[in-house]
Amino acid sequence: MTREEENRLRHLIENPPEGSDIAEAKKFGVDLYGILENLKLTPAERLRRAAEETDFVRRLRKNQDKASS
Amino acid sequence: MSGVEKLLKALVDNQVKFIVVGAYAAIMQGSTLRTDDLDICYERTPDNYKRIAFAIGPFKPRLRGIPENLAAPFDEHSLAHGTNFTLMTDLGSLDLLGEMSGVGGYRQIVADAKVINLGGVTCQVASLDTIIRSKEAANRPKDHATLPELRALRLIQGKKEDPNG
Repeated sequence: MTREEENRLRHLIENPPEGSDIAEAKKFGVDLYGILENLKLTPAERLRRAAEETDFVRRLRKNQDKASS
Repeated sequence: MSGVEKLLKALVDNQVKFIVVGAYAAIMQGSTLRTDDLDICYERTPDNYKRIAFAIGPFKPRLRGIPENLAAPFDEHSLAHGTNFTLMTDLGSLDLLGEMSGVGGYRQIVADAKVINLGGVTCQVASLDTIIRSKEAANRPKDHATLPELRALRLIQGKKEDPNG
């Protein structure tokens, strides 16, 4: 994503058209800056980041189960 | 490589006809959602059942919620006798969906699926429209909670120069 495009999307997120899905999401408390950060990554990078977090939580749960048994 | 990436690679390498759906499909398109499960919608044909069984067999698939010592082996016959399966594998949770409420099966979902390159592995991913329709149809509180973000993401993606990137 170019700097120009990032600025354009940031402006959209910060000034969403009234009644738009972005305005609704903002009211709901959605992390719109998180989306913007994700859009700077490639789909492969987004997948890897989420999947590694899942693996980490799975390992933690496994260790917790072992410790409590 | 993460568990999800290994599962996807195994499915692609074995030429399984499938589409990533659910939260991972949204994540690949920029969502901040997180999930434990990889959800895929698969084509319901006997050839595909064989390919799925062969692809995930090495990761010891078993039905979730059934004690390991009681679980019957999950194979192509299991796939032929059911539609949707929630599995645990050695690489994590895998949900195999033959039909999804509100959107249908593989043939319906593939129509507007996106092809996404995951660095060496190319797979089909459900469009945000499809994900949103399936979450609306599922109508559970946890699905409803994801809708504001998914709808906003769809709008932001539509304003990008490269909506597939």
